[in-house]
Amino acid sequence: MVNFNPKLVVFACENSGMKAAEEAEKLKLTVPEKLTIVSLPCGGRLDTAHILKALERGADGVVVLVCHIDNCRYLHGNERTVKRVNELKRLLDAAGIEPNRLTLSHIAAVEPAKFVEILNSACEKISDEGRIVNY
Amino acid sequence: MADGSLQVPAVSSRVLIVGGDISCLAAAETLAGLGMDVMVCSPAETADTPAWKRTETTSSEHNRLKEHILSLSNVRWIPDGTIQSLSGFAGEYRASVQIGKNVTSDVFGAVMFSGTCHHILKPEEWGLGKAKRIIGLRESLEMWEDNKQFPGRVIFLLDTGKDDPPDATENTLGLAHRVLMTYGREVSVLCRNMRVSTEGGETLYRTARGNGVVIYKYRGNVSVEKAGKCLNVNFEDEYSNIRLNLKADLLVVAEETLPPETAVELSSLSGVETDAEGYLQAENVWMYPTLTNRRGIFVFGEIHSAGDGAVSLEDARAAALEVYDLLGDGNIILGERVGTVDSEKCAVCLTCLRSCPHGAVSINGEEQSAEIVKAACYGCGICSAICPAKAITLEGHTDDDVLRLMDRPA
Repeated sequence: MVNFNPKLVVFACENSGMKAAEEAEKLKLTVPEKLTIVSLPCGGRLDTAHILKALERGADGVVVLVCHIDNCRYLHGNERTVKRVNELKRLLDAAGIEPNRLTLSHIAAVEPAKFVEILNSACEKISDEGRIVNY
Repeated sequence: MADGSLQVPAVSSRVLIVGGDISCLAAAETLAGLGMDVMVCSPAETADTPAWKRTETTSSEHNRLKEHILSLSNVRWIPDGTIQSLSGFAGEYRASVQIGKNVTSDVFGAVMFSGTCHHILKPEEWGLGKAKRIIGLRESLEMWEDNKQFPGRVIFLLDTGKDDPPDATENTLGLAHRVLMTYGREVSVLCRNMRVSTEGGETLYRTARGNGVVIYKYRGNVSVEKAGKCLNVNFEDEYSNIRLNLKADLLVVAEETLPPETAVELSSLSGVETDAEGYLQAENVWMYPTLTNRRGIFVFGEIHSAGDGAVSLEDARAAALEVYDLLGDGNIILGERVGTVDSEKCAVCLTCLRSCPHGAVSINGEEQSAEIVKAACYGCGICSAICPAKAITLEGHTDDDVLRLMDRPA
């Protein structure tokens, strides 16, 4: 049901998401076409403004990948990201931007298949929302 | 662990060990052997082997350690010293230690925490109050040491709370076997699980069982009632699914093992998080077994998990090697990247200080600014994201860097 190829920006923690992405690439798994991956030292480095900038600059959707709970190398960085994303979804909704354009998933370095699954499922959800409208 | 090529000199290469049992001396011995100066704050009883840890090998090792430590000029052992405060960073931890009525302050490059689990016998165990015929495992071991008589049929009970650690099984089986061989009366052990991972544990289990100690695995809870002068112990046997009733003249219950009583205080002194049960160091694979969220602070032995004397000694030596790795050449190797505060923008709101998981932020009164201590920074960027004034940047991951990465063609 993908009617167009959404442009995805993925913010990935270097200890989990990035490693899963690299593994997926090594295994030549199929990922969505229009994909930009931004590596961060920790999910906790991700600022709400970064996500907004991504949407502002034409991303149809944003996927945030952080470590599983209790697995954050810096203890609670991933928990901070969860709170930020949840709050942002609420604000996006209030601002008239579909909250489904933003997803957060927990992932481990050894989960390349899950990486692909998360991206594909995000792609579907986002393409249902259509291309993002920039005013 | 840090992976950069930059380093800063440590202000001090001394090591402070705070703890409660013999493993502290093992750690001190390892460090001293590598040429480090060590201060050990650990009670004098540290080297006395308590009854429940007494085997031939452990006793002789303990005596050897104690004698050796006392002979080393680069180890200062302060039996009545307690740590009062801790501040600073890897390479420069300032600790004040109370010795009797005096408090001395000193600078250390690294700090190691250990402790001894404490044990409690759950009081209202079966509504029987403190009955003569129900005693704790530790008390029974002391009874044995004191050559006191073991009356009649003895039942040993494990795992009444959550499952007991391996040393409870080792002590129980050991004593059960000795009682059986000495008195020749019925001896049984009731458990949820037999933990035989201690050294020689499997052999002990087979020997005890082979000589006649009866071992039952129970399901659910065990109930105990007075029956005349003895006790009725009732439980569901896991293998046969039958409810069994055993009579006992003495019931020995393994105490519940709890984290060292010092754990909470050490946690609040040092900013090292505790896990769900109260042991030091949050449950996190990145730190297991001897690291903590603070560079330069290490944990070993029973402060981070209960249960196996021999493992504690190895743990202590491993932690000592980690300390040497960090501090041995007098330099602290920095992380791949560190944060920097722009003092012009900083409003000293303290948000970064409160948010840093690693205790890497200090406040510079003169500059009226927060500062990130390079030796302590892990480069996670959490401070950078959270600073309301956008005063903190992380090399390679500034806002501009993020935008640049985001704008690359897909």
